[in-house]
Parts: sequence; structure tokens; C-alpha cells
Amino acid sequence: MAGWSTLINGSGLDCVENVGAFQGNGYCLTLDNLENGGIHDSNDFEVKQKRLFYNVVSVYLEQSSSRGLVRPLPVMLGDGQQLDLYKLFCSVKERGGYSLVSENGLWATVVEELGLDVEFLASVKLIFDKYLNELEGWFWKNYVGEKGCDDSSKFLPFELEKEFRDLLSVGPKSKQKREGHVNLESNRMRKYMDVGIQENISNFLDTKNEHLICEDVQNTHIDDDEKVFKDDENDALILDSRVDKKEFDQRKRKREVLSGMLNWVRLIAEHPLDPSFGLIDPSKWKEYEGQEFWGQALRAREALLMKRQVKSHSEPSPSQKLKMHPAMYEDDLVHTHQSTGKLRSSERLPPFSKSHLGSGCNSCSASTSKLPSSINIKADSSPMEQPPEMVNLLAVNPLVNPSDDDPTEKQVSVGPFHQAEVPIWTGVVSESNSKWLGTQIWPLKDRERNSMIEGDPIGKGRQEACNCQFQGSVECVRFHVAESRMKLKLELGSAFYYWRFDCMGEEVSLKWTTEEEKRFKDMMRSNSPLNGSFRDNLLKYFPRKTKRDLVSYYFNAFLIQLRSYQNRVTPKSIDSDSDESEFGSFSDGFGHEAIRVPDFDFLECYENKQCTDLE
Amino acid sequence: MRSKDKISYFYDGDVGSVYFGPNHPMKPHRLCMTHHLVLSYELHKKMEIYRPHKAYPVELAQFHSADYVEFLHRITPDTQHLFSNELAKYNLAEDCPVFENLFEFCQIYAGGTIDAARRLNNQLCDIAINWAGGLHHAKKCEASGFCYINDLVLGILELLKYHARVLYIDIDVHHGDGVEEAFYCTDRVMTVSFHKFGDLFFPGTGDVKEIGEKEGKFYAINVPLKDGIDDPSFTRLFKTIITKVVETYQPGAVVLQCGADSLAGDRLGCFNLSIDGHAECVRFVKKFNLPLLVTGGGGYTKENVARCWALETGVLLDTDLPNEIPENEYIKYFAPDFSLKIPHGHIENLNSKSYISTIKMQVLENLRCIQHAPSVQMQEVPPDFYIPDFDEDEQNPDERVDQHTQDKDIQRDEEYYEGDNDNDNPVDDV
Repeated sequence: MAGWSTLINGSGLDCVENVGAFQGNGYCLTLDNLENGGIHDSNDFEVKQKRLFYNVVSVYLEQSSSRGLVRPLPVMLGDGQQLDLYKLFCSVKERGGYSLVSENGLWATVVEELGLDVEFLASVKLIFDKYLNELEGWFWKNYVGEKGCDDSSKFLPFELEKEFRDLLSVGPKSKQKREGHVNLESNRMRKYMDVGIQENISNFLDTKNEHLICEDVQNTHIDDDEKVFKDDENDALILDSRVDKKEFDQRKRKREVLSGMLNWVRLIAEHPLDPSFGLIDPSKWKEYEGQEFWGQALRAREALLMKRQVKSHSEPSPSQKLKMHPAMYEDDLVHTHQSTGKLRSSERLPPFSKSHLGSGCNSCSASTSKLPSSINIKADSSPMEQPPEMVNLLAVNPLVNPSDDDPTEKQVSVGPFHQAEVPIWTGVVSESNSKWLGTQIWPLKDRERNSMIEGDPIGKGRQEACNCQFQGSVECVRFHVAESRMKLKLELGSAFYYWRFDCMGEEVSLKWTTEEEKRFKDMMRSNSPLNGSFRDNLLKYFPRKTKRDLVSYYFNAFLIQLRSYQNRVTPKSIDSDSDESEFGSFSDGFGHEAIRVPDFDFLECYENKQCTDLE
Repeated sequence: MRSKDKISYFYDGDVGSVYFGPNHPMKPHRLCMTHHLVLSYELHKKMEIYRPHKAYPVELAQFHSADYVEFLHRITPDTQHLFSNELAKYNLAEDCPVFENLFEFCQIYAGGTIDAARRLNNQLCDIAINWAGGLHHAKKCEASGFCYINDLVLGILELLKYHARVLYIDIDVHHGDGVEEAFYCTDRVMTVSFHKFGDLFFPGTGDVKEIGEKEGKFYAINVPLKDGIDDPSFTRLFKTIITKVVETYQPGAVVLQCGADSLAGDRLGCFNLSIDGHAECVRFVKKFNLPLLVTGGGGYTKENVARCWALETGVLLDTDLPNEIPENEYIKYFAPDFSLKIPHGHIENLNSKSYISTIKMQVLENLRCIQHAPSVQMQEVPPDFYIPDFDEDEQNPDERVDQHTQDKDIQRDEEYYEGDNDNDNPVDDV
């Protein structure tokens, strides 16, 4: 991210502020939209949308040109005609997005709608791909996936961002449509519900062929819906199904949209007693119904209860794949909290399901069922609160095996692109290359081995007693480490270098001058570690070091020193695997001083001498 | 004074400086720490240590598609912006970033596993260890879950040159989906994976109902577990299932993936296993005295990975390691106790007894299907030098029945699980 490199020392503080802002958003936004919703008519709305759209496009282009990607505006077609990006965007969105349009061969109609000749089909498609797909990807990445430290507001005013998000997620037309629904009265609720179900069904039927959803799934899905209606006859869930319905037009969505909500839930889980993260006293839940993440979480819970899952292999879109470690692509704001607890659960993608199921399931539905209909409108005018991934879970389920009890399961792909070619066993041993068996490093082949070292028993542990003056002191430990290293070096001979023991441990720091080490530490303290641009900066700062040197120094010297600081000062919260927290705990000047023991320099020289003696 | 078994251990010093990128939980530096710990316990005196050759692209293409290997070879962090389509196609993003020396790293760890398999094939050792290997998620045409090249598949393919049947066992906290998928339709490899399943935990596959297809039906075994499983339940389940598997399947060689993320306190894992519990599985597999290829795998709390694999190296060498870690360069990582063992985890164990016994029942039930329909390949594996003088198809079918009856006799001897004796009786008429 371009923003990262500009971060300075106060990053921790920034993040905290952002957390606050972030929490506030959902709420403010829904209010905003509520007000706006009543005021502007559809014409106004479109003009506004268009302006917004071009604002965002220009911001994006500015940014991308700084990365060397130049995309001129206005967009010209081959014959010099100008192409209205907004119109293109809308008509593609209306048809379900880029990939659906491509799949269904709808580009011709798009081109037609734009009033262009069919010969421009290819270039229009290309333009969409180059400008708008990238724009969308950029937007989700920067403003949805990475909220927090990347000070996004620098590029886009917050409201603009938010509205644009709406635009991206629903598309302009359906937004207008939705406004028609707003004035619902609660006494008409029952009727509406029925309509909702019907619409649901028809939608399913419409999309059936495209998405190969088999009858079984439809039925189960509808059954589920009906069950939901029966179980909790409340406004929030009705909204669910309505939004569901809308979302069927837009099913290829990235999961990053959910990360805001996930982080919100995670924050709550980490700080169960801290009201500033939006944790709500059960008795006050009602007041928070309109809050964006709250609504998302409720619906996510609902969707998970239905146990639908994406089958990603039929439509291999990388964004739908499970991530091994999703937390690391999400908001930076969680990184500022050093709790290791978050890491424990990070791989379980939707931790919220459990927490909600476990703690507040019943009371949730109880409170939502008493929603006044105003909330209904509020939630309605904020389309982002629908977690699209969940809708995907419900809707995109193209490869379901109807005979299976549980159609949710991700299945193993079978085919020539997936299996290894295993020859049939003939009983005859086929040739196994005996040429490449590895190079023997140990035991040493020639008798360069020094026999005087053989004395130690195999598998011996650390000796408890030694002859040092101050047992267990820093000097004592250093001495024994150096001693064992010297022994290893004598014993291993050439293997010592094959295994890169010469660049292992704090010895690495000997190749660095004190000045360089200081500079490295300063940079580490003020930046997140070795990230792209930062690493480039590092290389600039240390022209004589290779990237390999830097990584080696980081693990062998810097981390170990940090660790010895943690061992002494914060033994309760040791974590040398989380790059983020390391720097958090390192931020006070005191910690740094603590590493410097009085005899440090002397010891370094001592060790140094020992090692040079051996070379 | 060597141990009874001859052990080959693979290590290349260059893996220590590989860096996946900022905030990436996979840190190859853990291999460096493991090796260092192994050496500080003086375990090198009991084994042979090899530097693996760097696997050639053509070797990697034994399993992977040539275009994928070629792309991995070509791509660098500086050029990746030119190939966004390919990056998406091969899933080289986020989990699997492109970094400096990516291809060399793949060549080293894959070379290690391939060399290990070859040494086993040529009977140059009884057990081969490659802690750098075990990247079980990689697929034929794409990277997945921090894995680029599936060294396990390559190693197994190598073993299949000498052995009719190879057993793959996976105790990583994640499902061994790449290996399972590669051998999903063959009965020459049985894959058994113990892993966390559910809650959309990566990679999402590995339900007990995945059993293989076509020829491979019943030759893929999945043991899905929930959060917080502890030593006693895990090791008991492991031993029951593996005993039955080995007895039924009679593999010629075993590949064991020892992902250390199933340990308590792992950054990505969610089990409660102690290092002893983890190592107990290794000890158990070793006892079968089959050619054994041991690899690493996941493991995202560096010092615990080093502890675990060092201890397991000791287990394979029949050497008990004292709990006090000897002085070494990385001693500070092992603070505050500087001890080898780590405490159990304290995550709530969501695996009820009834859940575990249900899973066990289903797995054993599937295994029985193999017994009832033994494949032709269930015959005695001819020794390496023995070339049979008859065509397999012409073989007397009675002999197969004999083998089959034998199997059942073995089965009768022992009772593997309590409480369902009625289901366990083998059918008498064959």
C-alpha cells in the first residue's frame, strides 16, 4: 500500500483513532442514508451517483498512475468517440457484473445500450476490464479489506467512500428500486413476507439454468426461508430474504466485504468488557439494531445456521477460496492489539458463528423480533450491511449432489488436472534414479573430523551447573553459547558452513557495524517489518547488504534481542511469531535500553575474538 | 553406536533465509532453528545428514503441470505485476505470495523429499527425514495454503516405483487435501488425514464422507476433528485407526507428514496436543518397521516447531532427549523455561466421546469395505530383485481368497473399539 510507507512513529495512535471512527461509521452512515433517502428523487440520485463515480475514478487513476499504470481520461474509442464509463459501469452492473456478462455473452447488448456499434465490443470489454475491474478490485482492497492503518481517508473522503461502496455493491438501478420498498407498514408485514418468498422462488427459477442449482437445493433453501419466517417472524429476517433476493444479481462478490464485520466481532471477542468496541449490554441490544456490523453478524449467523457452503471449484474465482490465514489480509487495526488470543482463532474463518450461537442466540432473536419498522427502513437503505458472502453461500451452490444428505460440503475435484498419474503396479520395480540421492554432509567423509570432541554423550541436555562466577547471568549464558558454538564448529568442519551456521545466531550481527544496527532498529521500531516498500527502503539505507542479509539479521539478531527483552520484561506475553506485536511492545525507549547490559560491548568483542581465532 | 535403524536426514542451510513476506505466518527460519536444536542435542552423531539436490523442473512436473512449474520458475517479485492473470490462475496471492528465491526454495524442499524416497527405495536407509518438506496443500495446477510444490506427492510417486502400496499419514491440523486429491482415484496410495474440520477451517475439505473415487474408493480416509482435541483422545484414535489401516492395507512404505500446527499454542492451529502426544504418533508409526519417510509441514509458532521436530528426530533415533535445552545460538527463543516440553493447551475440547466414536466407527466401517473386496494388488509385494514369471491376470484367484482369509483372521484376533461387537464380526461367507 502506498500509504504504509508514509506512516510514521505514531502509527499505534492513528490506529486507535481509526478504530473509533470505524466503529462509528456503520451507525452514522445508516442515519445519513436514512435522511438522504427521503430527500432526493431518482433523477437527482443518478446525477449524484455519476458525480460520485467519476470522483472515485479520478482518485483511483491518480493513485494508479503513481504506480506507473497510466490510464488516460476521458476514455476514447478507436474512432475518437468518448466512452461514458459511468454508463458502461451501470449497464454491466445491471446485467450482473463483468463475469456474468462475459459468461452469458451479453456484451453485445451492453454495447448497444451505450449506443455504439458492435465492432467496438472488444474494446469496450477491454476498457471495462482495464478501468473498472481494476478499480473495483482496488476499491475493495483498500477500503474494504484494509481499513484502519492505511489512512484511507487521505484518498477518499469517508462518505464518498461509503457511498461508492453502496454503488459497487448494488448498482444504481437496484438502489432506486429499493427505495420504493422503504415505506412499509408493519401491518402489511405478513403479506409482504409472502411476496418475499415468492420473489425468492421466482428468482431461483430465473437463475436456475445459469447456475445449475438443482431442484433439491431450491426446495431446501425455500424450506429454510420458510422455517426462518415461522421461527422468528420479525422484520430483520424479512429484510434478509429481500436483500437476498436482490443479491442474486450480484453473486460474484469478494469475501473481503465481510472483514469489517469479522473484525468487529473479533474485537468484541478480544475485549469482552470494553464498551468502546461496540460490545453491547444484552439489555441494550435493541438500540443497536441498525448498526452495520451488528446487522451483518446477525445475518451471518443466520446464514451459517443454514449451513450452506460455496463450491469454489466450478467457478474458480480466487476470492472465494478459503484462506489459510485470513487474518493476515484483513484490517491492520487488529494488529495493534497484541493479544495472542486473536491469533488462536484466526484461522477459523467465521468465529462469530460460535460466539453468537453460544452466547446470545436466543436473546438475539427475541430482541430483533421487537424491532420497530423504522429500523427496517434504516437497514434497508444501507445495502452494505448485507454480507454478500453469506448470500453467496446461499445462492451460488452450483455443484450440489442431490443424493447427498448435506449438500454443503466442499468436494474433491476429480479429473486430469487434479490427480497424479499413477502407473499400474506390474510387480516390476521401475527404475528409481539412483543418481540423485543427496550429497552426504555428515558424517564427514574425509577424516577431517577432530576426534577430541567425541566425548559428549548423545542427546545430553543443558548442564545445570557451571564454573562461571555468576551462574545464569547474561555473561554466563553468552559464554556457554559461544562455547557450544566453538565446539560445533570444530566438530562439524566443513558441514558448519554447508549448514550456514556461520550466518546463524547473533553472530550475524558481527558483520554489522553498531551504526547500521542502530539504524535497522530505529527503522524497525517506526515501521511494520520488511513489507514491500519498507524493504526497498531498507535496501536503500543499507546499500551494501543484500535482502538475504537483512532477513538473516532480522531473524538471527534482531528477533533474538527482542526476544531476550520480552523474556525479561514481559515474560507473560511472549510472541516472536507475530510480526506486528513485536513492534508494538518495542515501542518504548525503555525496552531498548534494557537490552544493553553494561558489559555488552566487551562480550561482543570477546565472542568475536573467539570466532576469528577459529577461522 | 548407531541405532538399529539407519536414518537419513536432509537439510540445506539455504532454507533458513527464505522469507515469505511481512506478516506471513510461514517462516522457514523455523527449519534453521530445528536443525540447530537437533545438533545441540548431538543427534547428528546417530544419523547421516544429506544436502538434497535441487529438484529439476522436470522432476517437479512428474506431478505438477508443466506450465505451472514453468511459471513458478519464471516469476519473481519484480515481474509479478506483469502476470496478474497467471497469478490468479495459479492462486499465487495472499496465502501464497511470490517472494525472492521462491523456486529455489521449492526445489530444495521437494528435492529433499524426492531424495529421501530414493534412498528408501535403494534401501540405503530405513527412515528418511526431511523437515523442510510436507507441503501438503499444493495442487497439480495451483498453489494453495502456503504450499507451492507438493513434495509429498512427488516423494510418494517415487516410492511407488518400488512399492505396490504406499500409506500416507497426515497429522497436520489442516486437511492434507493436495495429497488426497492427487491420489483420490487410485488404490496404490492410501491417504489418512487427521485434521480440524468445520467452521470453514482451511481448506474446507476432509469430511469423513470423502473416501475416494473409482479405483480409489475407500482408499482415502479422513478423520475430521473439532477444536481442542487432547493427547489421550488423539493418540488413542490415531493408534486404533492406523493399526487397522496398516493391517488392512499392508503398505510397502509409509509417508508421515508431521505438521506441528496441531500442537497446543500454534498460531493457526486449534488443538491441545502436547509435543509428547504429537511425538507418540511418530513413535507408533515407527514401530511398524516399514520404510518410513518423515516430513514436516505446518507449524507457525517457531520455537514449538523446533522443539517438536527435534524431539521427533530423537524418537526416530530411539533417543530420549532431556527436557533442558542445551545452550545454543537460539536459546533465547526457548525462554522462559528453556525446556523442550510444552504444556498442554487449554482450549475447550469440543470432541465428545460419542463424536469420536462415531467418527471411528465410520472410518473402520469404510476400511472393512476394502477387506471385503480386496484389490488384486493386495498380494505379497515381490522383493526388489524378484520378477514374477507370470502375468497377474492369469493368477489363480484362490490365492487371493487365501490372502483375504488371512486378513480376516488377523482382524478377529483383536478388538479395536469398545461397545459395538455386533458390527465388528467379519462376514463368514466369502
